[in-house]
Amino acid sequence: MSISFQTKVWNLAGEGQVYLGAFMGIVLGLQIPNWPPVIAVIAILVMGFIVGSVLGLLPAALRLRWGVNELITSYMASLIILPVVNYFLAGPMKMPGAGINTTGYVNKAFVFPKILPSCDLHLGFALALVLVLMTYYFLYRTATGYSLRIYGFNEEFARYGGIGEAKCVLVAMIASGGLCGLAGITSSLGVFHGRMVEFSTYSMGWNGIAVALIARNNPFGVIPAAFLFAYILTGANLSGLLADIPPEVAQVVSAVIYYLITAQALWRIKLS
Amino acid sequence: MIFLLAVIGILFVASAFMPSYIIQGTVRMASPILLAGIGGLFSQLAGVLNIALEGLMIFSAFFSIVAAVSTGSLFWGIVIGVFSSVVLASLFASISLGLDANIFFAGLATNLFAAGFTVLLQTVLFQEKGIIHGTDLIKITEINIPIIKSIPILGTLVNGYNLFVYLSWFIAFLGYIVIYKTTFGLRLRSVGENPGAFRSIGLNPKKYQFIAILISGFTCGLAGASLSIPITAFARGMVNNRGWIGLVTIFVGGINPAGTVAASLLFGGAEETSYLLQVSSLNIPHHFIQTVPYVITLIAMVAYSIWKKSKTRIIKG
Amino acid sequence: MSIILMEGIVKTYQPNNVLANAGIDLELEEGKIHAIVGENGAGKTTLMKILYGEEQPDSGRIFIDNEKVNIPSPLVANRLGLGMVHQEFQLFPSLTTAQNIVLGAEPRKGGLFYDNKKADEIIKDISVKYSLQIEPKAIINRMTVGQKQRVEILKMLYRGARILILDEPTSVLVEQEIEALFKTLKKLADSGHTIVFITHKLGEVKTVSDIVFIMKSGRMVACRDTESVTKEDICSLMVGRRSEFFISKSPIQPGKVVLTVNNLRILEKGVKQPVLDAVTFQIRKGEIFGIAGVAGNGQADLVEALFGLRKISSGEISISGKIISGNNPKSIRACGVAYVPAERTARGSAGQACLWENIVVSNTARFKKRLFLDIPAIKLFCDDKVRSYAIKAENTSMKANTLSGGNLQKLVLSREFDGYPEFLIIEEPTRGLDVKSADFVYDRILDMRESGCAILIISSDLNEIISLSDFIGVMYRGEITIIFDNDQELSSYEIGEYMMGVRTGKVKN
Repeated sequence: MSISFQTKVWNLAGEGQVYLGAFMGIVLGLQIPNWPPVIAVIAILVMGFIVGSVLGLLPAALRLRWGVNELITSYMASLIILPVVNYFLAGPMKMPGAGINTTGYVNKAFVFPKILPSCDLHLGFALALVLVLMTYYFLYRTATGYSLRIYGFNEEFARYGGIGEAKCVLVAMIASGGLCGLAGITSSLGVFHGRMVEFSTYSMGWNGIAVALIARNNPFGVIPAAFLFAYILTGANLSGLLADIPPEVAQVVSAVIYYLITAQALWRIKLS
Repeated sequence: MIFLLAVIGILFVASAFMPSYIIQGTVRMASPILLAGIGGLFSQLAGVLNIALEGLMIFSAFFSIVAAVSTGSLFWGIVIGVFSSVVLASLFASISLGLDANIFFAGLATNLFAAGFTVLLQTVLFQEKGIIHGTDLIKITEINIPIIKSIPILGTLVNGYNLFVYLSWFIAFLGYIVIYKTTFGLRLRSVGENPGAFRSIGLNPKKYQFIAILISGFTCGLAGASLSIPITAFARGMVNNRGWIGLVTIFVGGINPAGTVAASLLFGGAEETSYLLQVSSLNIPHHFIQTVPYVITLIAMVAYSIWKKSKTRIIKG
Repeated sequence: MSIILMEGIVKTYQPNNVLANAGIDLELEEGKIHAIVGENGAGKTTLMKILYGEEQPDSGRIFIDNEKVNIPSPLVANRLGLGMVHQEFQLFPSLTTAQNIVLGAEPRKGGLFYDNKKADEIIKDISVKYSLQIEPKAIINRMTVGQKQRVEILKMLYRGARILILDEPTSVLVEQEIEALFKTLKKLADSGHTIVFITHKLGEVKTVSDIVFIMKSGRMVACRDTESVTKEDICSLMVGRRSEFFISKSPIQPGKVVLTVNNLRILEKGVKQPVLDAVTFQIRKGEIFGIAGVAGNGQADLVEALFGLRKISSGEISISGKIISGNNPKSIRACGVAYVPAERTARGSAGQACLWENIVVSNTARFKKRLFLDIPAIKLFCDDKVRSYAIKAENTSMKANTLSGGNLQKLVLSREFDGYPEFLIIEEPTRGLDVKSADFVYDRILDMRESGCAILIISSDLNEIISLSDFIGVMYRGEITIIFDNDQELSSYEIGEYMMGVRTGKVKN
């Protein structure tokens, strides 16, 4: 999300990308139960990335070809993909005999091991840290990342300077979509122990936007921001108000965060 | 205007040989989208991309039922529902205009907030996450217009809808008058075009943008109520992105009221198709049927952009 | 009789504590035409904005008709009988003339409804009264600059302005339109209106004004009856400002042809008038070709087409024999083309990016170490440019939007002039710059010419075009209607006739 916002390309398909990434990764995992675990996990992660980025590619291509507003098309693409995935979860891919709509489990060896035995912290977390580092280097140290940021600062200047619009929009949407897809499959392999449950990742895409906002689009800022956000959610959980964290709580929390972070006047008052 | 005449023409022709319930369904489905679209149009003209339409509708759909259930009156339900939407709109406007928040994130926030908050409240108030029923409420009836109902095609087209459908047409017409015939409308169109110049003649751009957002709140309030009041029930997700589709009608309609009416009829048709497929004997999974309105919206959005681009294209050769 | 008195006006701008007005006194007489002259940055516009309520002074008092007034906003200024026409017109392009004029004080029917008919009538009446011809139903975006200015003036008169402030009203007009404007101003003054206008053209001061105020670095240095002073007097009071441009150029050594533009056309669907029509010219090594024209006659489109920012319908552009039409800016840059745009902030830089990020935009390939950018090397390169172009900057990591206009322009020049491009496009080289920066820019441009660069200059300042160019082309309605050799005695009046489309001629080159 940070990547797309820095480029000022609006990716509103996060929900769909997370969901599709989680789903397709597991589908692949179910097809290759006998592969060596390391290779299989890599293949699954790559799958998650690819499907997420493909879903980002569509609005990007439409914007470049015909100037269609990517904000609306990406949102629509997401709306279309969610029920389609649900169809497979409820039908063809459903685990026989399960009470909820879910896929079967992938090979136990593919599931992310827990880093600490006592809590839910799993290997996906380490993966996320590596990705943050990579994103930072990509945005701030490479020529492409530079192009993206310049494009985000001033589209016209970028065009004039010889930075291709197509490259920026495509890279931003692919990277942003792909990382969302990865987020989805990571949660499936970690939190959900190697299966894909209907609605399981709902509102993760929106939370991602909130986290990017808290972090002011800085990749390193994303780490504490994500912790803060998760902490707020868990806090809501522990307060005993609700038995589990329903997506609605996350939504309300995200909403309040969007409001607070972007209300610039509020910050100016505080600073002065 | 041409777009509107074309769509109405198609409806006329269609109603000659299609069962009347399809035509009526289309018009009925179009009305909440139209209401949202007209409201969004006001904001758009004032230079505010109002993506909060969805949230405003959700708020009103929920609060109108809650109010109707607790007062036992549909009328008060509608009034309070609309009021709640206007209140949320003023929150959105205060944060985005007053506190200089990015209008885009403030809009998303409003949508998320409305979706989350209504369900939370529902859980707390009713210990029920699914549906609130107002079983004791009297349902509103369809209105029959004496003479017109017996005219063959016209009767199908304009007779036998509930209050909200007529209201949506009236609001669209009113919107046209306000935008093009009043001084307020003239000023509204000017704000969107050049806020700096607007300020230079001593008018306050934010004031007009604020009012435009409140108007969005009002019409989205009606739109939300039109979803829940006729069936006297609220279910999470019942607004089902109609606010977003309403937003798309503004652009596909070319940012004018007539175009918005036409586009909302088009999307009403899409929703009706989706509905008909659901109840039909064809065995299409409902998951796919759900996507029909979005697919059509997406296609319409793309088609409109292609058409618009072709108009400004440079002649080759 | 004094109608306006400003006393001890002080205004400083944050964050750099720039003293724009350092205790200025100004007295305007009823029914007279006043000119305010001074260099860029002398504080003329600030003073007028304070009078019009757009800026608030730190201290000082304003009297109208001997009564002390407070002018917190333009709205109040309007009510007090003040009206201002800005350099940037404050109009709504898709609305009609009448709508633009009455907006904010519209005639109404039944309280709510806009009375179209009455508005049109009112506009007709006042346009007859002040003999400012205007069609009430005409849409603004189809008008010429001169017509738009008339709409602005009428707008102020409609609002009951007795005192009319005009900020550089002639800078966007051609000679013929200027004459018409002056006639209008005189007529208004005769009917009792008080006029004050800002200008930097001394000829105009002599032609039209009764009283002249001379400002210099935030102070009012003199106030004279125009009749009692000569142009030279005014000039010496302003100090440092040359009355005419004086730029010494070495005679040109015609080299080989660098840029060839052949029959360039841009036609838009559904628009009869071509954006560009049969544009044909050449520029040789070491030659400056200047294009004059009223803004909006295709100059900007021509530049965009040359630089690959705009698609063309037909024709050919080539650099040293290599066809570049149809290429993107990146590959056009690679052919040795550089471009200094008029819009320094919108196109020439990214304000939120830091200096080094701004300076490598067209140059990243040079600083690539495999996948990564060699940032220390870029900063070194940037440091070097900052020094050699005397850019006032603390370090290379500061944001570009903290630079002043002149320094930003230097930054853009340093980037575009780097590596001696073969062909250079420069739009509005000195717009908004003070004399010192402008001189620096001229020197650099002439350096580039000496080094054999082919240069295209587009400017709304005709004097600048005449003093810099070897050849001058005039664009009118998308065509280059004439090309002059700049060694003959060229009058700006003659060029003006071509700019207005009164005359068209054969294009030679």
